[in-house]
Amino acid sequence: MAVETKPAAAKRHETEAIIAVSGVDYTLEIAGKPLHILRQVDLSVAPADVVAIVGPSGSGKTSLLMLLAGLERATAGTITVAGTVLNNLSEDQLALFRRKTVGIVFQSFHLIPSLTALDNVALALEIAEPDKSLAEVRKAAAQALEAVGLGNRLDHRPSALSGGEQQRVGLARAMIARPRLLLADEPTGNLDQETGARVVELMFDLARQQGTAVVLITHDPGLAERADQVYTMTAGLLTQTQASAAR
Amino acid sequence: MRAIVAATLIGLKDMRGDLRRFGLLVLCLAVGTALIAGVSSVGTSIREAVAQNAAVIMGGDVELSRTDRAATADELAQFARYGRVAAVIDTNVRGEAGDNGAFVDLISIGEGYPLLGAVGAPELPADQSITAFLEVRGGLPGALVSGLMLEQLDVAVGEVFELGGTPFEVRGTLTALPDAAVRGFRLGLPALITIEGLAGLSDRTSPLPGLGTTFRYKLALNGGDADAAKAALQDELGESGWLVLSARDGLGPMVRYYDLFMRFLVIVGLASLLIGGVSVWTGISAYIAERGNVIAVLRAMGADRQRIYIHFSSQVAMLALVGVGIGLAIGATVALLVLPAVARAVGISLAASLHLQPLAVAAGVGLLTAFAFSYVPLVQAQSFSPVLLFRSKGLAAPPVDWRTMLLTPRVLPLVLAGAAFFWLATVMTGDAVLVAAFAVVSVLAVILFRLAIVAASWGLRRLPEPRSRTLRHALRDIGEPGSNAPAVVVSVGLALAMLVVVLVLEVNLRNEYLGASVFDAPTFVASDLFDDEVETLEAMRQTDPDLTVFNWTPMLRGSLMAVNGQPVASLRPDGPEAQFLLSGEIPLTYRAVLPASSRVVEGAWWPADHAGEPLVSLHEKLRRGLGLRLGDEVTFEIFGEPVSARIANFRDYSWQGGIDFLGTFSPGVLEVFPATLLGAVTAASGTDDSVERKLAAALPDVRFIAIGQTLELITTALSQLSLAASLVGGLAVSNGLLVLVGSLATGRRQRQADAVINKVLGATRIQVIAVNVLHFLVLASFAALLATPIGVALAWVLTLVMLNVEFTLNPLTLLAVDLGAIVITGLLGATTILKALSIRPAHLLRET
Repeated sequence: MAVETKPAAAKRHETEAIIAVSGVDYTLEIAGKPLHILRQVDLSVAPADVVAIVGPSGSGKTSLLMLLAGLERATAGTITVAGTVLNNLSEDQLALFRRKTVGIVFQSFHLIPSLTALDNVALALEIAEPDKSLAEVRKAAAQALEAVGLGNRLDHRPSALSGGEQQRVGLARAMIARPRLLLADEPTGNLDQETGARVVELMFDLARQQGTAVVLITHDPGLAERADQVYTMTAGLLTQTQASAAR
Repeated sequence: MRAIVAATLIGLKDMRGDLRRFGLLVLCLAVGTALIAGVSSVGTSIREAVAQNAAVIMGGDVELSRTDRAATADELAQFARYGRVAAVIDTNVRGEAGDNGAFVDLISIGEGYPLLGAVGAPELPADQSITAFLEVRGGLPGALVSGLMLEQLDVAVGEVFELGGTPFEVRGTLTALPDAAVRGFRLGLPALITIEGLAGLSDRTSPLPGLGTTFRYKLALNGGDADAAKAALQDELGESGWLVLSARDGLGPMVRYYDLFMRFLVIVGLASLLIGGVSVWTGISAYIAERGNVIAVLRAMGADRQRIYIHFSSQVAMLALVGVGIGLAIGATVALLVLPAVARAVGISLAASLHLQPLAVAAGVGLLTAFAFSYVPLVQAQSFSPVLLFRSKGLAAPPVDWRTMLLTPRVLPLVLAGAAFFWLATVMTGDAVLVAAFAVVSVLAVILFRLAIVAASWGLRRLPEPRSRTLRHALRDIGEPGSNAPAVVVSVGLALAMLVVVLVLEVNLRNEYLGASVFDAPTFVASDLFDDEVETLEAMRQTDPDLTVFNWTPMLRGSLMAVNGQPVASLRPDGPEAQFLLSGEIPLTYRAVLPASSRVVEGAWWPADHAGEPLVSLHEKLRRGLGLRLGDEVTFEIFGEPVSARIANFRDYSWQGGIDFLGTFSPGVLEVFPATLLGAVTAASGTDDSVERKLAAALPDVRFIAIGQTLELITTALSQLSLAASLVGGLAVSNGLLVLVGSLATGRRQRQADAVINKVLGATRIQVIAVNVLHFLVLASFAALLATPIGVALAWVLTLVMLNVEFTLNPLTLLAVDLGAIVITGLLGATTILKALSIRPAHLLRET
């Protein structure tokens, strides 16, 4: 099955929801018994919208994020992201989908420790656009790091960066290929309040500039309030708790 | 293409900061490659030199020899039909000059010698034949004498000395014989005279009982193939007792020993590469497991399986190139350095140059090993899920899906690599059956190890838990999914099995080199001693600390008359020992106890107090040479009387036969006959000269022959080979230990994390260490239990098939190796958690 990535196809869905989740169940089998993680989840996100998902630990928030990234497969229901139906794609087709469509920011940053900040960011673009020359990729990576305020840290490895700086590198990496969807898993969870606020500000700015939709998981009510929509996950059930908010 | 280059560059960049961890892997590959490169290079040099110069090395295209008589005129005419003939007679006599004596390896040559090559003697004019140079002048025949003998006899060129009681003039210093390599081990210091000169010797008796005379006829063919001429001569001569050798098969024992050594090294090289491959497997597996985070990040960014494979395979390729490159450099350098020494020892001129083919083969097998053993871990790397990035910080390696691996096209690269390895190994060894056997046994061993660990895990889960808390904890995770037990058992087991193979082969090779037991060469030998002279020598041994050993043996002469009542005239002797036995009167002895230098290879030695029927012990080469069997009755004529005895055993005393006897009787048979005594004296190190003077003073009528020096020449050469075998074996052992260390890296992070958790929960450092030591001791013991019989079985096959030498086993050595490996595994296993114990738990918990 081919992944729909052509501009025409993308344009066709431009006015449609960037995320369309319908009747999704996600069930794991633990010790021979079914464990229902998500039940009948429906979610629709418009292009460039920011959606926050809140809820207690173990309620299924991260599982939903993984389903949206094509890292797990739904047990039932349909997941469509940027016009691509993820349900029946192979592993490598899902990889192709991710590199073109999705950027991910992790709570623990997950930078590659042996690479410099520049290489960490360049790597993402080089995977997404393999036809670009190495010089083009490195130039774009430098600009992306410049955009997050780390133009003077290009050759530093993660171990030489603070937590906030590492998360900014992670953000530049997630955004460099101009994804249509940014998934953020508690992006401020490992940062102090002030640093976290600056990173979030940066994330929203970049998303707005690139027209990227954002789905973020957070335990921070202040952060959630800044989203266009807020959903609450409770024992695998997703309910909307805030329809819109000013960003 | 651009994507592949980019992935490769990022892969190589990703190695930064982690290079130390690859040291073991690189070292293991380097050792295996170096061994193969060095061995193949030296082997190729010898093979090429032999192929190109075989006829020169033997001094003719074909050689005909026998030990009982010279060729008749008719036979010489028969040989001459094929080409030019030159006669050489090898024998041993006594050399003397004034009060000095020497034990001489006498080479007597006929007209035309050497047919090929040249005799080395600075005094020999280039335009003069050697026989003309040595002809009688001024009433004295001439001799070329080795420099060592000139020193021993204290004579110079132009002076006179005696050979076998007949005066000869020293015409020059003998520095080289063109056919030295095929003469093999010869006791005595070499001297060259003409056959006419030999005919004039007043005493041609060998000073030692086991040495005879060999009559050789070198043949330079008029044309045609040497092997065809050899076959035609064999047909013509039938069973007349002539040994016919072509140049290629005429190479002497030294070349055979080097050939054996090379074969041994090839086995060690293959074994080293195999265990090096295990190191690659465990090293890359552990690395991949620890790099799970990076793989997951790459996957999360959209990297496909191919990208992941390129990322890590570029790293493996770089490591393999470094390891193989270092191995090639070391192998080539060592080969260049040892070639001159090998050339001297073998007696063949070897060009100090390297050959491309063996180095290419070594590089090929090294790289293939790295590829084949890293392939599965790298495929495994592709199945890491980025989901783990969201779930936990600790990433577990997914188990290998063997069904998918083996039943899909993914197996093809492995099959191709295996086929290429097989081809290269066959090129290297020239023996496809051996390589196949090696491969089959290795694969079976891996399967056996894995099945055994599965069975053991199954059993452990069903056994009641031990009462000992330490033992319970040590055994707990052996049966758990994701345990390091299979990796440790397979790698330790394979390394140990290969160690056992190398050690058993090394012991058997040493036995072949040095004889049945360690042989202390005597310094002086004297024959025809009387009882009172023996008493004097025995008294000297007891009082003089310089005279460390004195042995004496009765010696009689007798000739074999019949076997099982059949006259010996009907026997067709095959080989020099059989011919010597039938050549007339030969030295015999009787003994109650088996001498230390002998080894019974069939039958049993008689009890020391044997008083029953007459028994005899014969050299094992007489079994085939005369078709003799245990229980056969042999009849000797001694002092005109027939003496019969039943063959009780066959024994081997290897090359030191010069002072041993083809036939040894049991006590109570020969004592009735008058016998002379053969005595052997060993002087303490560095006291040869003073002991010689003391012996001459105490027994002025006895002529002692200094043989220590000549024996030492041989023992030194063989000891060097034996030492080299031990060193190479040691290298393989070290390689095995490196693999063992590498295998312990598997699951290290998890064990460290477990150790920290245990510490947090209140376990003491001693308790944590004890659990880990016990865990590894159990695994290593289990591996040793399986590896030892596998290794012994493989060594048995290789000893008999490839080396074609006697197989012996030393259980104590094996036990020591097993215990050593078990203890080392236990201790090294414990060290893997020391880091975790030396830092504060909070720090490590944050890191993991």
